[in-house]
Amino acid sequence: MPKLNHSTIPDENHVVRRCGHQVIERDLVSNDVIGLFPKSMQLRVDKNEKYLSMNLLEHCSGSKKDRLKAVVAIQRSKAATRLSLQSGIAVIDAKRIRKIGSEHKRTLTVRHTPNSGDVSYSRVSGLPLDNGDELLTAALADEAYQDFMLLYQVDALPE
Amino acid sequence: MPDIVALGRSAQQPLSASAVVDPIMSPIERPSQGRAEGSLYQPQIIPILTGAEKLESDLFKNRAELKLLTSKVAMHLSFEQRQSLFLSIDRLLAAEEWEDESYEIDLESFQSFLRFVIHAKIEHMPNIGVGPGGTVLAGWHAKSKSVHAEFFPADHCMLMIKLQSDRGLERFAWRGHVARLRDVVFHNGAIECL
Repeated sequence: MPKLNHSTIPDENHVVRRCGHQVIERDLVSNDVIGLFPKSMQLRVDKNEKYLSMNLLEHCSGSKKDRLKAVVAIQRSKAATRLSLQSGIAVIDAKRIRKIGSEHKRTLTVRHTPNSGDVSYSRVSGLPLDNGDELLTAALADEAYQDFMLLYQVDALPE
Repeated sequence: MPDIVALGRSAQQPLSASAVVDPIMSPIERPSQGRAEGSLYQPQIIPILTGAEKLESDLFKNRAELKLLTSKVAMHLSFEQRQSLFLSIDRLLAAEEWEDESYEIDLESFQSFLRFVIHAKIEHMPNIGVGPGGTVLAGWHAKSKSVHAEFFPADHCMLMIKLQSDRGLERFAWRGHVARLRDVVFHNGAIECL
């Protein structure tokens, strides 16, 4: 299969980041989601990650809820086991990612890098490989939480 | 007729079939006493767990170990603190929520976290998460302030403080020993979170 073209994602487009249920911050008493731990936007050093995995929202067609459902369907098809309904997805616009990077003296690149298993696959590169910039990842996690939904909420969106 | 006859007794003396033989040597165990050859124990069947059963078994073990660690220092924790820890452990290590990218909680990281909770005498228990490798994530919030910490093995931790002041958003990051964590939070104006 020929290699699919990689391209820079324009500022006005959005990427979707999957967040496992263990990095979602929940209130101890109410169990309500109140944020994302900064770890949700860090590289997994034990898996030798060099970039954050994302999905390009605009690659999917339809309204925003259709696109969110399509992205979750892609993520489910790639997962070896079922995804927890208490995990979630965060939508971030590419412009904000670049701006947060520049505020922390980092050049973050946001690229659409499709592959045969996931044509919406994208990545954010330029983060320190040792996760040494905690302020950067905390700022990205705060930004990601601005537009965040749990999987069961995405599933419940009307068709 | 004596009831006990030594083995070395003269052959001239008649032996009664009902007499009990007094052993000169202590009895030794013979290999075939109703057991499998060479085995001192009854054979046991140990099931090899796979898939969901293995996952549930592993998670049960992890939860039990964490609760055991907590119970060892229970005298330093209030009932509410212990209860909130146990609830968080059960939630984070629930088999029904388990995914490829989930991690068991590292015992040494949890020890560092417990040491901080006891040493710092915190008033509010944090919201808890799990980082890659099983590190313990903790978050506290109070008004326009938040404190996030990650606990590593050997009493190391990483701290992040966020404050919304009149001058705008302020963030601090710090790494060090858990014994210093409370002081760092205090001196950066976020002690009410703890």
